[in-house]
Amino acid sequence: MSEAAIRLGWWLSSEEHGPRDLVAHAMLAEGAGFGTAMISDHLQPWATAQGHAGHAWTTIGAIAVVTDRLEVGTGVTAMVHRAHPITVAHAAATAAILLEDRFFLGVGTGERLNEQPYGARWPRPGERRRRLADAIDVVRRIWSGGTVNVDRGSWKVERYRLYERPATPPPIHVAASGRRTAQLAGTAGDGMIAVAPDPTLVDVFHAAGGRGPTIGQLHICLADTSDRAEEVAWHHWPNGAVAPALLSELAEPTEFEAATQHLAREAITSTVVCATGPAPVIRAIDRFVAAGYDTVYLHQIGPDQQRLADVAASELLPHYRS
Amino acid sequence: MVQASGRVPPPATQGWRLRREGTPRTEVTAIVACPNAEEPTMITRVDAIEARRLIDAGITVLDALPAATWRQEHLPTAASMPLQEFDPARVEKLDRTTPLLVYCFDQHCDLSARLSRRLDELGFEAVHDLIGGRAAWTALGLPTEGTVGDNRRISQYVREIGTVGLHGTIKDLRALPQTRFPTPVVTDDAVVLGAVHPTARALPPSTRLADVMTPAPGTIRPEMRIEEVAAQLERDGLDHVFVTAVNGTLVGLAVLAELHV
Repeated sequence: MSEAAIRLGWWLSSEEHGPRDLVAHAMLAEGAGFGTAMISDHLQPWATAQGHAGHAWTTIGAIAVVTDRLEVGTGVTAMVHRAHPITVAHAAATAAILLEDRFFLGVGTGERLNEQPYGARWPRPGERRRRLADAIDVVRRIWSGGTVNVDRGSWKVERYRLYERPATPPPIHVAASGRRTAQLAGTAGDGMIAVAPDPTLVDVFHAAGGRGPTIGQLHICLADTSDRAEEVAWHHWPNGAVAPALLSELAEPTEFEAATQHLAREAITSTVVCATGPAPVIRAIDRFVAAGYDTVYLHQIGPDQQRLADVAASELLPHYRS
Repeated sequence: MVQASGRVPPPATQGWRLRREGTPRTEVTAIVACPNAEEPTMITRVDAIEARRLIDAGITVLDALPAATWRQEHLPTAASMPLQEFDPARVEKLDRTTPLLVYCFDQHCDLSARLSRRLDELGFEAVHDLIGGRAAWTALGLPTEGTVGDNRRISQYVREIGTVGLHGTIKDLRALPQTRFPTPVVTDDAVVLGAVHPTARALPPSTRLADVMTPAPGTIRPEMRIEEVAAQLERDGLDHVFVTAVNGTLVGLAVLAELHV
């Protein structure tokens, strides 16, 4: 019996790279042989050292024009205050048309970092989960055509009809950080996205009826020496050392810096694979796969994106094609 | 530091005794270590695996719990001998060299410790006290008798599943039939050291299982009632769980849809 292939994806970090670079990286990824890419949807960077936060949807439009085969999705779009489900349904429908069905919508319960500037109260996780569940429902209704009226739950839609609609609505993948979001991914999503090789999330996703891709995000930093890799990762991705419970709760880049100022540089190696070659990356990907994930997005931290393209083309992608 | 009885447990037991002072007070006033026994009792503390061997060899088994508890569930061949109602006349005719196995509820229960001391004081020379009591026995998935019986325990509802060896590779996993459940990674004697999900079948065949497995898949004990298991699975949002004995050996896979509760 043939086995379902493992898919490797390219992570486009819009906190670390300007929009023109991201478009170039998408071309680089496609050229290296990646079949899929995910772009982070941020209003501001986690840390000031990252220095970027372009508008993801606009960037996706540009990527659509310069790529032919690469699937592109958001990783992830939150619907709390910043984005209303009408806005997301509208943008995602246009993206799906531009990408000719190479688009997926990644959604999550959000981070305060990307919502607080709107001046509204930052809801607790349970309320954000309900808002997300309601938002997914609204997005799907808008995509299905016809005039939509919603006057219950977290969102209001008053006689809206989506005119620019793809023939096939794009899949919605839901970011899961715990059992409850994994359940939501299983009941409302077409796939699940996780940031750690946690097998329980996969089990909960499937038990809730979830089918479709089980996606992991893996942070790596490939450099000439492991010392250099750690240094780059620590400088460009200090949020990788922030406790998960805080990641969604801090409101400004300076607060992320405050949360990490007393940590030693080595703290970054708990969530980032710092390496000089493919072997540790392969081992980390294998752990995601053995824990139930069929797709793993590689986030190469720092400016040296060419290095990931080279290592992937010569080592990583062939390794999983066996 | 000398104890009232003048006898202390041998070091092979726990090496500790609780001393109580004053009749109306029940709190512990001192913990006295007794590392060197001068006059060891004839009580041997045995674990559940050894207890099973003794029972298979025909040892006389005494249940120190209340009779109603014994009726509900007891170890195979166990006679009811509640400490509360202990009467030396009941053991009068027993040969003092008869090996005896005494047990109570669990590691917090002292009924069997006290019953075995009583038997020891009466001159029995081969008293065995089951460490961890009936709970240690059932946690190994060993059978019991009584009105409650074993028929609603999860050990009766598990399905057998294929396993892969700790020193094996993805090639071994691929040799098993396809399943939607994780596959346990086990030692030669079936101790579950990890698990791999079906997606792992797509890894290169030479990949070593020990390098990629999830190190601690969730497990439950075989004596759990199926209603408890179903409630726990539903609470956790899961539809399956590995069942292992308390020593880590695989009993099987419990699947929510197969628990007809």
